[in-house]
Amino acid sequence: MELISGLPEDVARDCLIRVSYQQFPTVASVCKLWKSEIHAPEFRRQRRSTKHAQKLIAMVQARVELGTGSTKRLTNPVYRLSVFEPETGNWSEIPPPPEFYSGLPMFCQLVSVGYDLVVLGGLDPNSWEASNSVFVYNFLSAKWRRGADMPGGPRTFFACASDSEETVFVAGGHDNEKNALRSALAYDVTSDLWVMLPDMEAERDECKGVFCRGRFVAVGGYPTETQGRFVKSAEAFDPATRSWSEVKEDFLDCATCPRTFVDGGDDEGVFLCSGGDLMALRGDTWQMMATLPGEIRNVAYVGAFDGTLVLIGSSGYGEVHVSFAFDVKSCCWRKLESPEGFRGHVQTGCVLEI
Amino acid sequence: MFDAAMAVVKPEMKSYIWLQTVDGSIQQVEEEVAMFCPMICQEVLQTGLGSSKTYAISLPQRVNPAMLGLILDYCRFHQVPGHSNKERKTFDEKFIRMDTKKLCELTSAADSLQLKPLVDLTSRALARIIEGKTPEEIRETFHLPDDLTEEEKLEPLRNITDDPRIRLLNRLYARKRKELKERKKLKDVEVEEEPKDERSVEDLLSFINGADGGMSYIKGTRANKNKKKNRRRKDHAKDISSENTNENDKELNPLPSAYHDVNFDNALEASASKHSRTQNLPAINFSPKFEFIDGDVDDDLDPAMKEELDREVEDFARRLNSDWPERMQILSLGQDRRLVPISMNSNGSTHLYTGFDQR
Repeated sequence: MELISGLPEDVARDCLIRVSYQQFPTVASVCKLWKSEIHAPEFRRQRRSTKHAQKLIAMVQARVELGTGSTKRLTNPVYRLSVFEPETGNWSEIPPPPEFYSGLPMFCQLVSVGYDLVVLGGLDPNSWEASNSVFVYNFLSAKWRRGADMPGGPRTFFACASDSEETVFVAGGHDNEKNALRSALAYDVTSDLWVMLPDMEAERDECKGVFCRGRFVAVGGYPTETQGRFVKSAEAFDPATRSWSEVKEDFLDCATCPRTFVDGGDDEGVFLCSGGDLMALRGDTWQMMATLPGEIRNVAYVGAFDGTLVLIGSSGYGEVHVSFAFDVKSCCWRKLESPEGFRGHVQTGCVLEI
Repeated sequence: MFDAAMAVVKPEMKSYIWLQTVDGSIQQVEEEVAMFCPMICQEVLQTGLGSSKTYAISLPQRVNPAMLGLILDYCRFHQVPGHSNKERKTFDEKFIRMDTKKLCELTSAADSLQLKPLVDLTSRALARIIEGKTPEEIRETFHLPDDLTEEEKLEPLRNITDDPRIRLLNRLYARKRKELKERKKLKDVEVEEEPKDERSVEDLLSFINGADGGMSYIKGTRANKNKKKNRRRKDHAKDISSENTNENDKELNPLPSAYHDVNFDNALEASASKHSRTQNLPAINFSPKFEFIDGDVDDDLDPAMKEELDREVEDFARRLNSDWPERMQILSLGQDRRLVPISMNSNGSTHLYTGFDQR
């Protein structure tokens, strides 16, 4: 049985890998052969190696009432999942699972693993109760499923990052008594299993997690005793040795919220927005790369693709959110267009390449 | 003079390559055009073939004369260095306008001649064709078997509030609820919820299935539903929504089973119900979009659609019932029973606890 009759396998595969991600569910519904083809790891690998994989930014964004032009409102905004394709400028929305009829939880975390988008934790928008829930949206099937809850007590404002292949790492955050946590967990998306990891050295509330160079790095945050006083240190977890590195003091050069910390990829290094500037870590020193455009002075999310950063922010509280692309090599800013319905406040986001 | 003679001779010395297709026919092609194909180029350089009719290059069997003609047209245009990128793009767009079968043949032929730019062009065109079709249409176009089970076939999420079938179900519930309310008004202050519940289930069933309460349907389908029933009963942490992708649930596609059931339950109960719920359940609640609109029962649907919807409602009810075997048993015995509470464990799978009260 041929994938496409009359075509050799590799040529037929060449056609299928060019299909847009929005048609994945259709392709997977044609027949057993096509379904197994699209699910095979080889498919994704070839899509990426032939540069047919599409870059997406998924974000937790407030729904905007059309026509108002701003997101200032008296009632609590309802958050849903927006998807932005920086290469085509296309914006779309992913319908939430029925459990989130009031919108996605406040301050939930978003990570991507393969074709899955994982939404973790957050506070219920109506009751403000912390939840350890895990919901997974799969782009191959365009369906939601519920994953196993994060074990342990309620945890919010934790660091969260994925190795993009199988595992989601979680560290720090705080419990219901606002105690900063040092515990860490790992979640295997395919088997839907959580495992405890060794504790971090430091308590880290509101820390940022990134996965770079094979290690899960927990950056910044603050301990229980000194609320809001962000530290500059970071520590890295190596999955191979199942252990945390020594704490690196002065990893950041200033004590600031590490929310905009992002790994630009192996070639580019890491970045952070601080004091109206975009900073890059070159070797051991932080350097100012560029000033942030006024329209995104309050940065909500920074995503990185090879050589390009996408920053989403607003000029101030309650203002519309816009996106800019920053080319690392040329240090040039380029504003990205967004339709009126997609200018609401962005809580968090994550990049995908599928 | 010598130069003039040469000038006269020159046009006749234009080089040609001789190509033979699998059907035996041979054609001569301008050298620069033919050499644009890597496979032909290789043959000429390595074997020296193609310089005369007797020593024509044998092309791969995937290249028939018609495809060769097309490919040569492509080469003839693109091998000219003078064209701009825009001109090339315009040519390409016009060039690939052909039916899907021909496009496949062309892709195959171009691939055998190692003409990568043309393979890219045709692959892209085929991808666009695939993108524009439903799974059924794709199967037809590419002669693929329909060998996936209904559960394996996936339907992407749609905007659920626009689905007319959900609207009909809501209207149905609204109608039932209205009837229950009216019945309640006729009763005394003391509300007896159990008997009322019993009647409403029966009522609904008979409304849907006819006087036998739908038992024949349930018996008939139980064999088929066993597999699905067992799946649902297992502690499945993931993919609760995939369990609902059989054809009966298409209309309620994105909703997990607990959602259906709770919805259905509420429709049957009187408003003063003490429906026990576990702590986990508040997360599963009613979307305001599903507010039952009392009195809005007018079906502005055409009869054919209505018939189809009636059938689907039947299916839906049947499916619900097939998961409550004890309950059905009780129904058939005509005994009293109480509506069952539904609980959801933290893994998201549902368990239906059946309980009944014998009076």
